[in-house]
Formats: sequence, C-alpha cells, structure tokens
Amino acid sequence: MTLKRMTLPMLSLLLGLTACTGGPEPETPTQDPGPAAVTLPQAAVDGTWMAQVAAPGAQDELMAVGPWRDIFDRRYGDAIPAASGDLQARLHAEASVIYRQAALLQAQSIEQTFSDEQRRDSDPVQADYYYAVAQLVLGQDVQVAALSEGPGALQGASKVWAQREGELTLATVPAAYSLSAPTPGQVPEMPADAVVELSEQVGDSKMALADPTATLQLAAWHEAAARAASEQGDAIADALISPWRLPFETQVAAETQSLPLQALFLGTLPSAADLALVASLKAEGADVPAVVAQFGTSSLVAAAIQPCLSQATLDTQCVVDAAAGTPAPLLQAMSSGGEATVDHRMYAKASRAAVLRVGADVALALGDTRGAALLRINALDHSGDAAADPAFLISQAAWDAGTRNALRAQELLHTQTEVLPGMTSVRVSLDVLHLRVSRDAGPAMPMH
Amino acid sequence: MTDKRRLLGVTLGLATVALSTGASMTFYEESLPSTMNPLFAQSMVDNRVHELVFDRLYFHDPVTNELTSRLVDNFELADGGKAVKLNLAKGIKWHDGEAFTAEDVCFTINVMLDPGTPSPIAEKQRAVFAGCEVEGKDVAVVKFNKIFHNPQMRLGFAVLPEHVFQSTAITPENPFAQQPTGTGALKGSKGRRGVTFQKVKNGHHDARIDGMTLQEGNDPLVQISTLVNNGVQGIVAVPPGSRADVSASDELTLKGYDLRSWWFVAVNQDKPYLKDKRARQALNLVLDRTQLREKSIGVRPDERNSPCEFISGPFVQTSPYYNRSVETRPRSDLDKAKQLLGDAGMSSVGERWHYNGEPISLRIGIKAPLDNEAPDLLSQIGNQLGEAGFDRQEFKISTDEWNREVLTGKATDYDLIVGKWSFGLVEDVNPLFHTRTDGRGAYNIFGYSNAQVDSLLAQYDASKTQTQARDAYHSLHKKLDDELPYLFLWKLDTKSAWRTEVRSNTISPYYYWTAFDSWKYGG
Repeated sequence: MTLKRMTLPMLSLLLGLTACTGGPEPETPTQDPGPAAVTLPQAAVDGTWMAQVAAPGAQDELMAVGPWRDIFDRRYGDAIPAASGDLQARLHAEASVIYRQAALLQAQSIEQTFSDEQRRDSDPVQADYYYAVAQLVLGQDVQVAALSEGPGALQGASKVWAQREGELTLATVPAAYSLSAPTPGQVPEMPADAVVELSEQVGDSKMALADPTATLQLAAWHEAAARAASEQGDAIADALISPWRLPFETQVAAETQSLPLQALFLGTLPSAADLALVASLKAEGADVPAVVAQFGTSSLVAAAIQPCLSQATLDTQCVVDAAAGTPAPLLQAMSSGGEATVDHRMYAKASRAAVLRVGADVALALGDTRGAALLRINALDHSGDAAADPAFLISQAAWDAGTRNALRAQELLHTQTEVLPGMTSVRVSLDVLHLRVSRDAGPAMPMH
Repeated sequence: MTDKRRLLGVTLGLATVALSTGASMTFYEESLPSTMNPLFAQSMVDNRVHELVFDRLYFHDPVTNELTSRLVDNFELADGGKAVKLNLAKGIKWHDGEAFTAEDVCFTINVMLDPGTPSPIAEKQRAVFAGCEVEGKDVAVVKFNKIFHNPQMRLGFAVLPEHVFQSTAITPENPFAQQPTGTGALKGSKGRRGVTFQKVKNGHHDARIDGMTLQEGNDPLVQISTLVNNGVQGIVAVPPGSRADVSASDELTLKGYDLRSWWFVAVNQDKPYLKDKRARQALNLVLDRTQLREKSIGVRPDERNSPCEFISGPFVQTSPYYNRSVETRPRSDLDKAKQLLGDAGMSSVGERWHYNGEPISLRIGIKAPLDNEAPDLLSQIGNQLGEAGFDRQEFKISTDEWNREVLTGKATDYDLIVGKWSFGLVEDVNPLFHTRTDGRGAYNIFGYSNAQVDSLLAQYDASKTQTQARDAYHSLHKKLDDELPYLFLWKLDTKSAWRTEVRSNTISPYYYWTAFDSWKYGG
C-alpha cells in the first residue's frame, strides 16, 4: 500500500475525533489538488529530446562526440570551437539568440533611462543617439539618420546608421563596429569601442554607455555562421532563432522542422514542434487558440497548455498546475525502457520550465501582460540545471529592465556573464538604469 | 526517516490544519521581530512583518513592478512639482475599525519630521519632506524640500494611525511596538515566542488565508524536517546546505527572494592592537574565504554560479556601486599577514601573537541567527585565527543584544563581530561607516572614524547626478579595502521554501509579503 492510500483513513479518524470535541465545527481545509493530471500525446512525447535521449544507448552515443559538458555549462566560448557540423550550427544559432536578447536588454535599459519622462538635464548629449537605437530595437519607427550630425550624435556610429538603406533587418544593421567575417567555429569578442564614457552636462563625471548596435552585429554574425556551419545550417538556424526574433524583425508562422537530436538536446524547448509553436505565436496577427490547437498533438507544451486556454484568456494558475504535472508522464514515458536515471529526472523537470515559459508567451500573445509576468516569475523558480537557459534568463532580464526592475535584471545577467564574450559590456546600460531608479527611490537604511 | 515516522508527522500536521478555524499557516523566520513599529525597523524580519500589518503609501507591484497604491486613488503634482496632492481611497479602515484618512498620512510625515522621534529612517526622511497639509478628509498634500523626479517613489513609507498616538514624538518604547494598528492584510500581535497574525477584511485587502503564525527557525535540520512533515508550511530563508533537499522534493518548492545581502567581520579599531590598519590588513589575509565558504555554507571551490560570491567592499558584485577594480581575496596569505602583524607592532612569542608584551586574545561574536545560514562559521573563523597565532573566545550574540549593543555602538568588548547587512533598491552604506555624530553613522558598529571616508560619504549625499554618486561609492570601496573597518566576506543569495499546497505565493523583492492577498493555502 502506498503512502498516499494509508494517509486517508488516518485523516478520517482524526476528523471524526475532532467532531466529538464540541464547539464550532472547524472548517476542513480543501485538499491540495496537487499537480494537474496532464495528458501528453504520444507524438508530442516522442518528438522531445528528453524521450529521444532516454532510448537505450542514445545518450551515450550522442555524448560520445561533441563538447557536451561545455554545452551543459553554457560555455559557448569553449563549446563552439570544439563542435562541428550540425552541432556547431546549433551553437552559433543559440549564440545569435543570446545576443539578440542581450540587445533587447540594452534597448529596454536605455529606453527606461532616457525616455522623455526619465531624461535628466545632466545626461550626456549623446543619449539621443542611444535612445534612437534603442527605439529601433524595440520596433519603433525612428530616424537614427537624423542624428548623423550635431551634439546628439555618436561619433562614427551615427554616420554609419545614416548611410543604411532599406528595410531594417538583423542582416542590414550597419557595421558600426569592426568584426571579422562570420566564420563557423569562431567566437568574436565584443568590440571594445562599443562602450564609451561620455561627459555628463553637470560636473566632471562620465557616464559609461554601451551601444546595442555592436550586440546586434554579433547576433547577425552568429546567425550567418550558423547557416554556414552545415548543410542543415539554414533549417537549424531558422528553427532555433525564430522564437526569439526582436521586435523590429518580421515574425512569420513556422512549420515544424525536422531537426537532428544534437540540435535539440539540452535546448530551451523540448522539441522542434515546440519551437515552431512559439514562433507562430509571435507571428503578426496570430490566432492564439488556433495556433495552440494546431500544435496540440505534436508539441508537448501546447498539449499541456491547451486545457488552460479559452477563446481569449489563459488561466495562469491552470498553467502553473499543468507545468507541475508535465514531468511525471514525461518521465514515465522516458522510463518505459527501464528505470529512470538521475539524468532522466533532471531532463523531465526541465519540461516544467518550458511549459511555464511558453505559457508566458501565450499570455502575452493574448495581451495578458500580468499573466505573462506571473508565469515568467514561476518559470524562474524552475530554471536551474538542464533548464538554466541563457536565452530565457537574459530575456527575463530584458523584461525586468522594461519594467524598471533593475535589481533582478542585474542578478540574472550577472549569472550569464561568462556564457559569451561581451556580456559585461551589456551590463553597462543596466547599471545606468539601476542607478537612475535607485536614486529616485526614497531613503532606506541597511537592515540586519 | 522511515515511512512510518513520516506518516505520523504528515498526519499530525494535517490534524493541526484541521483543528484551525479556516486556512492558517505557520512559517519559520530568521528570528523574532524586534519591533512591530515600522519607524524602528532594524532587521529584515522587522521589515517583512511590517509588510503584513501595514500598508506603504506606494509600493511596487511584485508581478509587474508597476508603482501603485492601495491607499491612494490618484495624485496630481502641485506647487510647481514640489508637492503632490493625494486623493485617498475611500472605505479603508484601520484594524481597530477607525477610518483611514488624510490626517493619518500627514500625521505620519509629521512624526518623521519630529526631532523627538529617534528613528534613523525618519532622520533620513527629513531631507525629503517639508511637511503635509490636510485639505479634506481624503485629500493630503505632501510637500517636499525640492523637486524630485518620480516623486511617488519617495512615498514608500508605512502609514501610521493618528488616533492611536498622543503626539508626533514617538519613541521605540511606545506600546505600539508590541500591539500595532495598521491597515495591512493582517493584524499582528507579538508574543514572547512568536507572532500571530489574523486576517482583517478591508476595503482594499481580502486575504485568502485567515491567519499565520511566525516562529523563529532554529536548527536547519529541524526546520526542514518540520516543513517536510507539514508542521510548518514555509521557511523564509532556507539555509544553503538544505536547498538541494528542498529542490529535490516534490512536496516543496524552492523560491527566489530578491534581496541584496552581504556578510562581514567588523573590526574594533579602538583596540590598541587593531588600531594600525596593517593589523587589520593582516587579519584580512589570515582569512581563507574559500575554506570558510566551503566548510560553513557548503560551496565547493570550483562551483560556478554559486549562491555565495566573494566581495571586496560594501556592495554585492552585481551592484553598479561595486568597484570591480578592487579584487577579492579568496585565499589566505599567512606569510604576508605575519609580516604585516610585525609591522603593526605585534610580536610572536611561543607562536602566539602579543602586543606590548601581553598575549592577544580576540573576542569574536556572531549574530546568533546567522549560525543557521552558515553553521559553524564562527568556529571556522576562530580556527583560522588560531592557526595564525591568535587566542580567541567565541560568542553568539542574540538578536536582542545585537539591537541593544551592537547597533548602538556599545559592543566595545568585542574585537571582531560577524554579521550581515541587507539592502533593496537603495544601497546607502553611509550609516555603517560615517563617524557617529549628529545622527549620522547610526549603525557604525565600532565607532569607526576617518575623515576621508566621511568626505566620500558626504560626496555621495551631495551628488547631483547618479554618476557622481557612483563615483563617490567607487572611491569609498577602494578606501575601505585599504582601511578595513570591515573584513568583507561574501554575498549570499536568499531562497525560501514553501509546501506546494501554498499556491499563488508570489514573493515580493525585499518586502516579501506585498502580494499576500493572492496567497492561497490548500486549494
């Protein structure tokens, strides 16, 4: 008899005793419903990297080739040169995603620091340039070209932006900073001149500012390297990058790609169908319930979330419960060939974070910003071990910067400073935001 | 633990819940609060408790970070931006049934402005507020000393009930400190062994949990065992050594709590053998922080992204105030320490250090609750000092003694004191290092005094731009690394553990309980 079945008769006995003591009848607390019972379609489970590596011998075979320890530790600087072929394409694509999110973080920090409501008379005059670039990253229609001359311009970078023509895509971001030609297997440094110290208009202090243009260039560099890394480079890059496009990039619905296991293992989402789901959610004009339904049998996270979705609303508590209930059936499926290992448990637990993160995307697509924020906070609590995905963590930092929560954003970014070169430069804009927000706050005392 | 014993624990825990009238929870805190009066909050426990009992005029929504208020319907700028006119929400009552009005808002500000209120935080507010006028039952005009950007951010203080007090000069001994009256989600009452809270339904609060009990957490193993057995439903600060167990459990959730906390060893430079900064620099080199961290917190030297990161000054490494050019000292350097001790006038006799012919015995204290987070840290520090040639005596300092003696600068018998400071958005360290004078240096433990440091702190206070403030604190960091009134140890992340039956439990950065109304227990 299991522990659960033994508990109920004992509880009944105690409640009976309670009823005999006299006095007002105590209110019996509702039993905790526990994690939701989640039904996962077989096709959705089979498509996950968790299920695929659980096949006998699959993980050993996969990990026999490639820098998997570095990949688990998210050390892209070491992993990329040590990888090859499809795996290298995957790593470059993920690096592109990370730099995209880093650029978003910079843009949000700059926007919250130098918007009309927050600008200070003491700010460097060149803040105009940074603000304009930030607005572009955030999808606003801004003419950076207008800043090619004058006090609000940034020497060099402004002129290069002014010379750019045509639709703004990541590939057409101007080369304001010097980078080598994209080459698979290399990991370029953040250009040192992307961070400059600019004189404030009051006093002698200098404010350090970092140009998101350089970060965008790195994102474009790695995307190009991903496409060139293998024959499947284009498919891998499209699948892995599409869910993470920036606000100024055109987002279209995606089809599920057929991806090799090494492009998915330890990735941010369980399957290629999940990746296509997220990309499709973010497409302009997406019919959210229809998109989730479309992927309902092929995507593990869609299957988990769908019961929580009505026509125009997402029940966030339902998603939290569904996320808690996803690892168990996944682990059961993974263990069907034998006993679950410690690794299997860790991988299955990563699905919880995936459901919460995609749940947040669904909420946001429905216009429920609060629900999205709540699900992101829940996802953070489950973003350790195999779920410690730099792209999500930096995207959360960007989200926090966008809501002026610089404190948590700094903590998150700090844990990611070693994943790729240049993250310490990205921190510069966030520091400026934090100083601004904290100086506006009322006084406080240290507390023991 | 066997299944049978666990079963008994679970059953007894459920019985406790069944006998209560409505949903009620118990949780462990680091210690008991020292006061229920927010004017005199000194610890994070105080702050968290006050968040349940009182409303702050404005607060950040923990989900969206939006600056919002439960007490104010809307506001408008007045007097060219030097004042804000607050139109208060209606239908809000104090826990004793009296109506919340503009009189309470202005009363609270006047209390902070009253020099007869010996509150360190009120002292700081006197540089912000010029006064307050009641324009109507629900209209208060708050006046500032100057024009501030985002003035609502200056209104994050807890509001006090005007009808309860006799004057605006409020002292820590006022009975309000034991039996407060607030407008918060819960009414609180502090006893000798815990704090009990009862829900108060109000116009702006309708908590889903009827009551809570705060207990002081002691032995970490007992805390976790009690949590697993449902004897308590949560632990606010889970000891680092227990976090892996919590994380692995299907019945518990490990949750992040955004707080900036750093640990230190304060040095009493009034002691003749510690007056010379070379002696303090030597002690700094005696400490092997890597070993201390491994033995007391359980972090391996090669662990990446550990919750415990070394610091070299009075800020965490994630802070923009942290001077990254000042390196940390993860390892000891006993040879250099020995040389510095000799230069500082000490002599080694029989492998024990002496000063002026007398053996040195260092009296070391640690705030007692910290022993739960870093077990045996005190004895580990003692061991390292012992191996370096110092005799020592080790003491645990109760929270009461900490508040009474350490914070007030009276713990002069100690040579070294181990403690922790916590900060939220504002990392004002002036009270820690400024000379104790004219209300400044309120938490200067050993009365440290250095004119250059005072000057840098004054620069911070007077800075006109955020960058000037940052530069002042960068210089301070560098100076303190040389002067060493503190031996800076590390920053330690805080995590909470809650049973999965506790739902919708969003933890607010720093204040913790801001979103308590949405917390649910048992469904």
